[in-house]
Amino acid sequence: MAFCAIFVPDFRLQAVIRSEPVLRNQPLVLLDGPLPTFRVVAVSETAQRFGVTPGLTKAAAAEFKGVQIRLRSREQEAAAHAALLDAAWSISPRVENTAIDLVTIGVDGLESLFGSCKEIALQLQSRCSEVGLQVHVAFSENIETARILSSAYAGPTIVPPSQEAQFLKPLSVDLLAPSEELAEVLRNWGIANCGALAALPVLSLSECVGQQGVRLHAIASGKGNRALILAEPLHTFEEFLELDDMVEELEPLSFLLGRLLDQLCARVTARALSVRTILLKFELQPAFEEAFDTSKETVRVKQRAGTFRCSLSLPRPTQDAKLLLKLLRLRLQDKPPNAPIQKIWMRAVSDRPRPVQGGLFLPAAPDPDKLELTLARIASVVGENNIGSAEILDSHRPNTFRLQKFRASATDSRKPVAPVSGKPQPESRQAKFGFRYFRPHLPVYVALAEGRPVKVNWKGNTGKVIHASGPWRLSGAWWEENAWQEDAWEVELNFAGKNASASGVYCIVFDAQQKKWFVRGSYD
Amino acid sequence: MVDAQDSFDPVGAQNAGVELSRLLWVRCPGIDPALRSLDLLLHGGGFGLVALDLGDVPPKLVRQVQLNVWFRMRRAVEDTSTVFVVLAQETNTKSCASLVLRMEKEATEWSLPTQKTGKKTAHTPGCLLESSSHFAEMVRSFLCYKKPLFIDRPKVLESANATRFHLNSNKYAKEDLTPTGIVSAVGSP
Repeated sequence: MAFCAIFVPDFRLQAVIRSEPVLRNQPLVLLDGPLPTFRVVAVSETAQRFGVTPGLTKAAAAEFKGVQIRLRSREQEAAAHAALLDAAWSISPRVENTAIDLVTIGVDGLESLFGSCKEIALQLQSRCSEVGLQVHVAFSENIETARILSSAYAGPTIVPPSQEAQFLKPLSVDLLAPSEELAEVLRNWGIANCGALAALPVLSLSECVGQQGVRLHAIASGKGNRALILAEPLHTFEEFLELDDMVEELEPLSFLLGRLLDQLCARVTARALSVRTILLKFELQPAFEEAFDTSKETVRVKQRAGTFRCSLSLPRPTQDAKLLLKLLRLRLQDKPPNAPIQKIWMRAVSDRPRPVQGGLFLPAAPDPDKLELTLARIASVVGENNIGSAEILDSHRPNTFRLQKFRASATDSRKPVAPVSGKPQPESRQAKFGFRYFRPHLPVYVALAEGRPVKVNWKGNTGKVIHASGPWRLSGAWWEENAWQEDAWEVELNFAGKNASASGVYCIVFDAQQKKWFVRGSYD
Repeated sequence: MVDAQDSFDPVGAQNAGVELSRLLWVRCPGIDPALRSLDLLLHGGGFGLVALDLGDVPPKLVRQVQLNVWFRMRRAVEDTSTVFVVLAQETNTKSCASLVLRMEKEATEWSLPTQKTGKKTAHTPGCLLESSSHFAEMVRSFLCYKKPLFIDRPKVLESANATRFHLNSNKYAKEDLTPTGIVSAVGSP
């Protein structure tokens, strides 16, 4: 069985560079440690040329002009590690989460899909590059050999069967990660590389340094094989971004969101999935107003940062980062955060992509992705609650409905008319009245005679009732707080003079709860 | 369905045969958001029918919509399978419209005339709103040439492009008594 180890050199640096690609070719150092004694923990190759070394204080590192200083971010490292796993899963389902900067995959049977080991290596490097990581790749029949070679050589390194010892021979024993005691013993013995360690007699080594020495000897000899411990694939993808300068405006924020969405969509696409839901969380700038209010004698303590949450659900999963960015922008335009943004978390919930086959004889329907964007744009004009498809509620109260999200379907959802008693029913061709609602209902003054409306005064115009049909008494929900009771009349009104055009048939309602008359609407 | 005055009746539409799950209803608080929504809808494309309801908007407001707006809408649906319908009290789209129809309500029919409701009781069980008769006329069509007709001209009932039809009440229509919705058709459009 063949294995491939994927190693990310300078992982902590790459995790930061992945969020800020501008830093890739710049001298970069990372600080970490307890406040306020930050120390340099990682130095890029270009920063090393400037003379920056690990262990310097923040002030000392800042003395080097042109060196970019960032704080180590464990959230970004977790996201980079998840991206590395996703890139590995895009090649093989057998993936071991070996370390935060190293994953190992089983490559048996992949030749028919990708070709030789070299082509698999190129695919791996390409896919890792898509998720923002530069990796070393090594192939071997032995997991431990592949792991050590990937961290030693830029690669791709391909070890032919039973030649592991030759490849490991010149490598330092420090790559085998011995304990400090054992490393000191080996140093005292003059054992510097794996070849020297492999040449030692196993029995004597066991007597001197114990089982750890035997294990390292087997690894150095290219015989330290073991089984792959498979990792469980996750269907949630997370990205994180911490900002040096807080963002207040939507335009710069959309650049950052676009970058996160690109990374998320690259990871989701690598796993052959699509984004169903995007969850967004902002950590906002703490409120300082009360802290600086001396009149209240409050303690000048930094207030706890607020958070802003926003979610975006799609009716059809998509991999289009630009579409998601436009939808998020529209969402944030409607409901912007109320303070500058410090940190951004973005989580994508994935789903299987659903390709839709259109039909030649189906009614026209808009493209789901395009429709989603159109609906979001219209919602930003008329409001989110004013667009959708109406759903009639199970109630006798007139004008009872709710708007639900409109979903275009390429399939014909119309139900065929079920024949009754074996005979097909003829389609009803009766044209019905149309009704126009006045929302909200208009208050009117109604003159009654013998309990029947005879005149209706409406916006200063008086209409004479020619015909009246009613009262149609309706009531409901008397067991709840929002009980309703009304007497509805259908009246034909005749307005005289310049308001003659307003003559028509109206529905007027006496609301028994409010003791008032209203016009519900008119018959078209 | 772009509803400029939020006057759409979903229950009535469902009774008339509209499948509400396939109908996108945009409730607009005025003519300006209605036109902006309409522009987005038409340029988004893909809909079989887009209707703009300006029926309750005062005509003097609709008249203020510039002609280039209607040309823009027409341009958006040209060479597509989308049908764009504008309902208004007056024709405002001018030469942008491929077809202009004028529809008017002529009379309302009640089951019992007023003078026959002799008993002065609180209830009028015999008097029901039954139907209304309407007049429709094709004013202009790109597909069918006819003499130009002005809106304020008296109705020409004998015109080959005019027709009359009845609409029945939703609640009280008796299908067995009324054989068909279109009871009189003068000529064929």
